[in-house]
Amino acid sequence: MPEHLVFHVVLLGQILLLSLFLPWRIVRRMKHVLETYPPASHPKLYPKPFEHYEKARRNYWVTNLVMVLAGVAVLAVLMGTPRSGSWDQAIATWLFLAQMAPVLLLDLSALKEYRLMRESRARTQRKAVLKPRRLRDFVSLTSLAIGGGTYVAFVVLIVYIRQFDFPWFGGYWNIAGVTGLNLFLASIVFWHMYGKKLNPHQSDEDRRRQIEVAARVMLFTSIAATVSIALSVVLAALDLRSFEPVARSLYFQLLAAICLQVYYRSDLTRNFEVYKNEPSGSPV
Amino acid sequence: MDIVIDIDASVPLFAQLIEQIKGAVLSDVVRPGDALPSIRQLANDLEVNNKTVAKAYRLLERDSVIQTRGYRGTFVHPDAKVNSTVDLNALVVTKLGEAIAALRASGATDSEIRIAFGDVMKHRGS
Repeated sequence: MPEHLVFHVVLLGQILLLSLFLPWRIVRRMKHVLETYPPASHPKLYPKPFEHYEKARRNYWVTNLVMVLAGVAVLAVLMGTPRSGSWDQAIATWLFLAQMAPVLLLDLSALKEYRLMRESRARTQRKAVLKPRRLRDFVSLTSLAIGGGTYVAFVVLIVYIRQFDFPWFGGYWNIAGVTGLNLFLASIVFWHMYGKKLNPHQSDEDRRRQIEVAARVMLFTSIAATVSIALSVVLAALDLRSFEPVARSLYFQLLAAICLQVYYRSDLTRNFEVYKNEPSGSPV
Repeated sequence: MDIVIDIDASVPLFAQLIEQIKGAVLSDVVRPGDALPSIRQLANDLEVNNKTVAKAYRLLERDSVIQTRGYRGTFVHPDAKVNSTVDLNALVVTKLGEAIAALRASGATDSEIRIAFGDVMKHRGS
């Protein structure tokens, strides 16, 4: 079956991109930060002993290599087993979730680091900018309109397709699911904009950049997820379900590549001066 | 403009906020009609309770330094600059000092003054 062959190639791409190429870039960036901003000059960046961060970097890389091996093993099993392909989409999804686990663990570890930074901070002065943060400061009106337009188009599509009832069509549940997802993504943006600052040393400029990145990534995720679900519904309506696994895998790759790339690029401009020891008596 | 508070200072946090926002108005850092951060934003940024910022905003609104326009947010009052020079606390201290001095001159003891002050405040509050 040519669909199977295409799926195998795309799945291999997913394994290599998400567990090898992108982690390699992250590991390279971590190495650069550890070498360029060592504890001697930037003590506030390391609330734990320096070896901990070297170990975390190694563990992250090894975990991803294990994911590559596991992914290739799954792919080999798929290639050697005759099957209908009905589980291919689920396989691509579960593999994606497993591939994202190391990044998630890295994020959780960062939250712990921030907590330690807050606990070790001795200063009694606190600072805030006397300027409101609004969504339009971080995302253009055009982008917001595209996001809103995509959602409206999706609703119209579901209402239209609903008249051609076909097996496994969720109907209005699709709209409920996408609405729920959008609310979830919006709550993340809201949390970034108005929530507590996790990193106590973060400069205001970095904070604004972080909110901007989060808002753009969430908006892109919203649009991409809506388009992906719409595509799945259309493929199902046209009785082309066999292409769904390929479309889903490509969607995951695009989503992860763009989101991680945006975060990666924003990290390149991060202000590391705030992690230096300031002279005593200096202002906040 | 940055708001800087010191959690160990003897001045209450809400008073530090009021002082600095008035300072920002007087030094033209913020101008009439400018938007101010929401209570939640300022409280989270300063890592203080929402009620502390809410109290500061309430007192600034009472003094017509800021104004709340419903869901649109909080803005600097058109007459903020003039109103920022009025120090109601200083006025209260002055007037109360004069009253206490007059009562002492009449022969009232500090204890009597304190009890009477408490009674009057209680009566006015009910």
